[in-house]
Amino acid sequence: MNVLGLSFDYHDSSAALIKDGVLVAAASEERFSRVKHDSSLPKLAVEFAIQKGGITRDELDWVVFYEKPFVKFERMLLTGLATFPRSAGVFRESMQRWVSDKLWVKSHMARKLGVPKKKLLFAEHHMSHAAASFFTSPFADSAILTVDGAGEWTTATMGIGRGNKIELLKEMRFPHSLGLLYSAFTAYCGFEINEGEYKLMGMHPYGTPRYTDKIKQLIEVGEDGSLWHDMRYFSYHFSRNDTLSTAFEEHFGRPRRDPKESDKSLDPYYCDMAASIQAVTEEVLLKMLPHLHEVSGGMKSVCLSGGVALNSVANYKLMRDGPFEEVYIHPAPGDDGGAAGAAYWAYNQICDQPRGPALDHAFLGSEYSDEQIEAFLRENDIPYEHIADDQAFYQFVAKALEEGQVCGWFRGRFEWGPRALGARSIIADPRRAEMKEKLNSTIKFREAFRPFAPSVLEERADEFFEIPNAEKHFPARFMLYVAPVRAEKRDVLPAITHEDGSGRLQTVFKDTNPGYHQMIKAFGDLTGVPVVMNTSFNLKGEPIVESPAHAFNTFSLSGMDLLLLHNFIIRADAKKKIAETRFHLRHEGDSVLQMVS
Amino acid sequence: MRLFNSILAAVVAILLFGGAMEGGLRLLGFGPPKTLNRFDAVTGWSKTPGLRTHRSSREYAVDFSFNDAGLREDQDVQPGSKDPERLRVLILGDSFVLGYSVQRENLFVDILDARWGDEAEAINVGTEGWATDQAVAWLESEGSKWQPDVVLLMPYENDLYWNTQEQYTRYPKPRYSELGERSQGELTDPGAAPLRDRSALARLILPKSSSLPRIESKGHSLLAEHGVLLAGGGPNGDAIRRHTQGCLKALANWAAKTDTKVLVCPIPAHSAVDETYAREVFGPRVLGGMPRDSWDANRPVDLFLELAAAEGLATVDPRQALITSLENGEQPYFSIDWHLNPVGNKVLAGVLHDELARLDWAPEGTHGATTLPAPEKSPLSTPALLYLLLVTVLGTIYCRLYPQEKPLRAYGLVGALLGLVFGLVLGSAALLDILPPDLGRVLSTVVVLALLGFIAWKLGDRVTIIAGVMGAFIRRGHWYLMPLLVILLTVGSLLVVAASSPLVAPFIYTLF
Repeated sequence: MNVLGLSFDYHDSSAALIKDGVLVAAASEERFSRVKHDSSLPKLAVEFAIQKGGITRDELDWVVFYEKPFVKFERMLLTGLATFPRSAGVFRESMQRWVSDKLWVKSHMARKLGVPKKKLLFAEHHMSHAAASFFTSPFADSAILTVDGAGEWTTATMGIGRGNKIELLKEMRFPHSLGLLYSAFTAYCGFEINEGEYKLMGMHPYGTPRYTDKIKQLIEVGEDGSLWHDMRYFSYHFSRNDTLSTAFEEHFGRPRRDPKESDKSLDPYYCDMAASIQAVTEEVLLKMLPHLHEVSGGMKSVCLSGGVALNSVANYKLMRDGPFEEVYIHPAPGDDGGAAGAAYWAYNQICDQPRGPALDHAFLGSEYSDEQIEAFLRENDIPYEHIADDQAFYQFVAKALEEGQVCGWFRGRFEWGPRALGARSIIADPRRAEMKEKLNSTIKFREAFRPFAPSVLEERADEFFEIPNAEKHFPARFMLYVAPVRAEKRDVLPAITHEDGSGRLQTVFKDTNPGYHQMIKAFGDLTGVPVVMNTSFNLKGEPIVESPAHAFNTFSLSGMDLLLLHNFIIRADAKKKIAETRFHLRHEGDSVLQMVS
Repeated sequence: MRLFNSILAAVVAILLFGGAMEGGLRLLGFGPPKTLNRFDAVTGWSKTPGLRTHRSSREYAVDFSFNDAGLREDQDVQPGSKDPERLRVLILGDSFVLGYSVQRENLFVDILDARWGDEAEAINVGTEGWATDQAVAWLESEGSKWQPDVVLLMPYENDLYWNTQEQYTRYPKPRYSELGERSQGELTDPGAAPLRDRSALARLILPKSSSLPRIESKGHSLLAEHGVLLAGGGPNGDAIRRHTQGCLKALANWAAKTDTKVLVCPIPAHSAVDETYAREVFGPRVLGGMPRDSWDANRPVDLFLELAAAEGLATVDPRQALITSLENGEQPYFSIDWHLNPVGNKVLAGVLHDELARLDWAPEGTHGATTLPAPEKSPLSTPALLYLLLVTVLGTIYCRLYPQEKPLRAYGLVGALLGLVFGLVLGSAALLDILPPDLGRVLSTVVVLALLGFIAWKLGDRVTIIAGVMGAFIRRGHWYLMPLLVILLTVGSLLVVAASSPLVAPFIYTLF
C-alpha cells in the first residue's frame, strides 16, 4: 500500500511517501524550489517522493493532507467575529486568502497532483503530529504529547498510542497556546515569528531568567500544564502585524526590540527575557509530562511532536527530569513532519495496517551518484580531485579539518527535517575556538551569538556529553537535545560549547550514516576528539542545499575552504558563479496572520 | 443542544438559499407583482395611503405615489379641500384611470386637470382591478365627502363579468342587484396573500392556488371575463346585464340624491379599436383562436352605453377618436400591455374635455395643453451618476488598500473596469429594448442561465467542496455563521471563476 502525505499552505510544505509501512521518501519543497519555508503545494517534493518510491501516481492508494481546512476556516471565522471590529483588517486579509485559495485545497490537490478525489483524506493537525512521532518511534505503546502554535483549533494534545492506533485524550485550544506564547516573546525580542524562535532559544544562555514571575502574570498555568492566556496582553488573535499588545509592553516596562537591532548585538534585557520564556516553557512542559504520565497509566515512554518539540533545550530537560524513561521525537517535529504523520495516520489508524520499522535515521531526501556529480563538475568546468578509496578520503578530510579548513560536506540522501545531520553539512574542527566566529561571520553570515552543533560518534558521546547510554536516545540522532558538555571537555570543544556549557549534539551511528561516522572516526583517530562541528549547508536565509549545483553555489558565495561532493574535492580557488542555482536569500518570517492561519 | 443548533443551521442555510433564489428570480423579472392595494371593508380593496413604489416592464416604467387620502394625487388633494370657485370632477374606474402603465404627466386625468387650470380639477379615484360595482360602492361611501360637481365613470370590458361576482379570486367585493342594492354590507378581510402571490420562488415551485375562471365556448377555452365578447354576452349574459344595470342604477340614484352630474365613458379594448390587432393578436393568443366572426370586441362598450342610457346617465363613446388616432398613424395602445399608452391617454383626454365642454359641465380649457411637461431631470442620467459614485468610492477604497499604486492609475483602473461593466450592461439593456419583448426576456434568461452554467462549469468539483463546507458548518451547529459563510463562499466561487477566466475576470474583480 502506498500512502502519500502532504503538508502545505502554512510553511515548510512537504511530501512524504509510505510504502508498505516504510517511510521511503520525505522532503520539504523548499529544498527543490529554493524558496525558504516554501508554503506552496509541494509538487517538486511529490515528484521526488513518487520517483524515489518507484511508483506512479496511479499506484498511490491514498493522498493525505495533514490538517482539516474546514475546521481551521471555522476557527478563523469565529475568532474574527469574536474580536470584531478589531479583527476587521485581519479578517479581510485572511478571508481573501481562504476564499480564493486555502478553502479549495482538495480541488488543488486533485487537479495539480492528478489524483482522484476519492483517494484524498484529511487528518487532524495534531493527529498528524502525534502519528508522525508515535508510528515512527520504536515503542509498541507510548504516551504522546504534541505542542505547537495552532492547528485547526488545537494547540496541544495528550494522547496514547497502542500498536497501530492513537487515541488523543486531552487538548488545549486556540488562542491559549504554548507555541504562540513563545512566538510572542520571539517578536518581543526583535526576531521574526515562525523563523526566529530558534534564535531566541540560542540567546537564552546569555541571560538570567529573572522575568519568569512577570511572564506568569500573563498566563495561568494549570497543574496539568494547561495554559490560559490573559488575552489583554496579546493581539495575535485579531492583529495582522502584532502578536502582542501595548499592554504587554507596558507590563514589562520596555518596548519590543527593534528587529533591525536583533541581529547586531546581545542586549542583556532581551537575553534575560529569552532565558525567562525558556524557563517558563520548560516549566509548563514539565507540568504537562507528569500529568500525561498519570493519565497514560504510567507508561514508560513518551513521543513528543509539534513545533515546540524543536526546542532542544527543553527536550533534554524533559528527558532528564521528566517521569518517562524514554523519549522519542520525530526528526521533523514541526509542520513539515505533518506530511509523514498524515500518511502514517491513514496507513496505520485508518487502513489498520501493521506498524512499520522505527525511524532511526533522517536520510529520506534525494541523492546524487558519483556519475551525476562528476558530470556536473565537468559540465561547469570546475576543477576537482577525486579520491576513490573511502578511507583515504576520510583521512584527507580529517587532516583538512585538523588544519583548520572549513568543508562543505555533501554525501548521500539529504535529511528530513530542519537539521543537517551529515548529509548536507558544513563541518569544521570543534577544538578551534575561532571556528565559531569564522563560520558565523564568513560562511553563515549570521549573528555572532548563534551556537554551532557537534556531531559525535554515538559510541563515544558519553565521553564528551552528559548523555549516558547515547544509543537509546533517538532525539540525539536528530540533533534534538541540547546536553551539557562534560565540564572537563568544554575546553577541548570550545567552538561547539555554548555560553552555558551546553551543546546541541548529534550522535552519529555507524549503521545509519557510515561515511560521516568514518570521517569523524578518522578525525578522532587523528586528534583524539571524535567530534566535528556541524552546521547546515546553507547561507543565512537560504534553504539547505539539495543538489551539487546548490552546494557549489553556496560554497562559492561563502568562505568555505573545501567542497566535498562525495569523494570529489573542490578547492576554494575553483569558486565561481554558476547561473542556474538561484535562491531566495532572505526569508522575512511569517506575518502574524500567516502564523495563526 | 448540538442537534438543535445543527437543525437551526440547516434551516438558516435553506432560508439563505431560498433568499438567493428569490433575489435572482426577482432580478430576472420573475418576481410577484407589487401590490398597490390594501383591504377595504366597502370596496374589497383600495389603494394604500402614502405608498410609493415603482413598476416597470419592457414597455413602461411608472412611479406611483399615493397621498394620505389613498389617491394618486398631490398631497393637498383631500376631501375637505374643495375650492368653491373650482369645479371638481371625480374620475372613477380601474387601472386605466389609475394610470397603471403611464406616468402622471401622460395620464388623461392629469392632462385634463392641467388643461382646466384653476377653473376645474380632475381627481383620480381609479383603482387597479376595480369593477363598476366597486367604483359605485366607493362613491356611495366616500363620494359626498369630496363634494364633486361631476363624476366620470370609466368602466372597462372586464367589469361586466366581475360585476356578477362577490369574489375576485380570494378577495371579497361588493355586488349590486338589478334594483341597485348592494348585496353585501361589511366585507371580511381575507388576510395576507398566500405565499405564492408574494414570492418569486414560491411562484416557481408551488402550484397555482387559484386562477381566473374560464368558460368553454364552441370548443375554445377562454377567460370568463371575455365571455361578454360573445353573442348575447356569453353564458353569463343575463347576469351581466342585471348586475351592471344595478350598478348604474345605484350610480344614478346617488347622483340624483347628491345633485351630481354623471358621465359614463366606457373605455374600449385595444381589439375594439384596432381590427388588425383583434384579428392577429387578440383572437389567436387570448381567445384561443376563436373564429373572428364569433366574437365582437365592441359588445362591452355598446352594452355599457345602452345600460347607462337606460338609467338616464350621460354617455360618451371614445372609440372613434381612438380609431382616428390609429388611422393617423398613431398607436394609442401598448403592444403587449392592454392599457392605453401616452398617445391613447392624450386622445381620451381630448374626448372627455370636449364632451364635458359640450355638455357645459366643465370649462373649455384655457391652457390648451394636452400633455404635461415631464418632471425636470438631472443633466446626468442615473447610470452616469451611479458610475461616478462607484468610481469615486471604489477608487478611494482601492487607493487605501493599495497605497503603492499611483492615485491616477488606481482611479483610472477602477474607472476602466467599471466602464466596461456599465457599457456591457447598458448595451445589453439597449439591445433588449430593440428586440421584441418576448424574445428579449427569453434571451436575458438564457444569458443568465448560461452565466450560471459557466460559473458552475468553472467551479467544477469545487461545488462539492462548497457543499462540504456547508455540511460541516451545519453539523457543527453554526447557524449564526451561515449568512457570512454564504457570502464568503459566493465571493470565493466568483474569485475562482475569475482566476480561471481572463475573459470574465474584470467583471468579477470589479464586484470587489
